[in-house]
Amino acid sequence: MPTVIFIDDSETALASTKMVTDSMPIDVHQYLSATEALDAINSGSVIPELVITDLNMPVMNGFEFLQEFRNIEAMKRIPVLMLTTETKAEMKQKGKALGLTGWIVKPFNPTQLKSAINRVLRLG
Amino acid sequence: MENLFISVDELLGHISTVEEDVGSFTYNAFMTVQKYISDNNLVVDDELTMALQSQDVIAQQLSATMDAIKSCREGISDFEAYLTTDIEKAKKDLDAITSKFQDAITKAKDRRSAYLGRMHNQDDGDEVEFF
Repeated sequence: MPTVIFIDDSETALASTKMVTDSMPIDVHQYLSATEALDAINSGSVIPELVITDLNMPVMNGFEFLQEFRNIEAMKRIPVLMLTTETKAEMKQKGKALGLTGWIVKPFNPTQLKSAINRVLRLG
Repeated sequence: MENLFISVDELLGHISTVEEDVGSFTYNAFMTVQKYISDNNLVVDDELTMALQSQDVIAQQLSATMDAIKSCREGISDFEAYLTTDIEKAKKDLDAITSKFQDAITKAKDRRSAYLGRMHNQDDGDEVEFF
């Protein structure tokens, strides 16, 4: 099963995504901070095939995470989706320039989130 | 003047406390519903999942306004200190406190917009965008 990492500083946001992904054939790992996720990736305990991260988080935001993540040689081509309440075009452009794969606006529609994950992971 | 600022400070403190309560109540409500769904292996449809996500948006909105209130109260606290120790400095500080209030309001409004997501237009089809 492909490993998918979710990063969000909100427990309820992670719980919402869990309700959706529970029925999917993916191995989900959730983190309440980007630094915690990076630690897991750098230690090799989790090797993601997709990362879905929030943007507005304390300590390290989604853009800062993306920059650090892309600096890891093995993660340069791993898709990253931003799942956020932010809708400004300039923020999306910034994400695109940093190597983001896509942008999903909260509150997400579960069917569309599943479809986005399936599309990125080519799960049919 | 001092009493006026004390009253405003008390009011802001009260609003902040109420907001903390609201955040806590909505969080607990969400977790209760989520546990019920999980314990009973219920299938949750799209509409309910989207409704449940309101808690996250509520928490972010409250956090933005609480930060603005904190900033305003810090300004008031500085001004009150000058009022009792250095009245001339307090008069000059009025401009600084006004500027601090305006900055806090601008930031809070920006964050309101940034943290609102699709709450007002959930039927729009622009939820997922690939680059």
